[in-house]
Amino acid sequence: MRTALLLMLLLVPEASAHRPSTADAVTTIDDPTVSWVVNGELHDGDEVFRVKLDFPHPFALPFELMTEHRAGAADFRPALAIVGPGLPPASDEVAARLPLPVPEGWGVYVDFNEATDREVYFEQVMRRTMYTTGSFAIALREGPNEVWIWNPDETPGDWQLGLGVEEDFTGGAFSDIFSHWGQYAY
Amino acid sequence: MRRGPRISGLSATLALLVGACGAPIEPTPDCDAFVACTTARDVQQGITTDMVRFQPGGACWGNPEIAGLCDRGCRSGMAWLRDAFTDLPRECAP
Repeated sequence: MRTALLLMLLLVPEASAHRPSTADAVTTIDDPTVSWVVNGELHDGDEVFRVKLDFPHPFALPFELMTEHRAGAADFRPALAIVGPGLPPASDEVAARLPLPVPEGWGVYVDFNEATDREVYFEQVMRRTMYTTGSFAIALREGPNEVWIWNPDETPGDWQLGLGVEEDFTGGAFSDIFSHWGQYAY
Repeated sequence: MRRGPRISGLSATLALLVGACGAPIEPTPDCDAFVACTTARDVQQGITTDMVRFQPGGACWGNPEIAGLCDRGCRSGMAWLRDAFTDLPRECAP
């Protein structure tokens, strides 16, 4: 208990942390207007994670998708799509590469994570170096939107989705770190 | 959940101390451009997008690390808008 409390004290003030969460296949973010880091693992490689975001009003925020920066994970490059109303419709070529059909009337932002030069980011909360798609800001409409994460190469690996910047650590926000420690540390 | 308020209080106190030691961070030109473009698109579409975090005093400008994240995000976001939409208002031009 003392160790946990000490770690929380170190985490909160120092480092622009995102509220942590661990993803299941379909994960709902309770309040997408505060910052989150959602951790997930592609066990078999062919899964699709759907992160559901329900905004109370139109909302602009930064996103990024990160993976571990280590030799064994260098070729793990999951793709990310943000799907929702107000985004441009997917071209036939893009739609063919998405893991799920885009709902009627929705559009898509997609990053297939194919950049030759990959951005590397030192994540100060858990003190890890990560590959990142790079931060990108996007304005989303009110109501339901989704983020899809999958690996076109269908290989397994761990990923982290960061979104938002407003910190809110009330209500035991860091308990998820300790119950899923293996996904937060490497 | 008594821990939450206690941690928030500590965080706020330390943030105040840290903030007192450093100069305030101003929004970057790329985030100013992203806000201006999104605001102009909002007028076209009859909506109001919450962009408080990118504006002066917003959460993006609390420390250099998060400011860098927002700045890169605004730059990438603007580049994507210009690629993805052909009907952008003039406020979105480079």
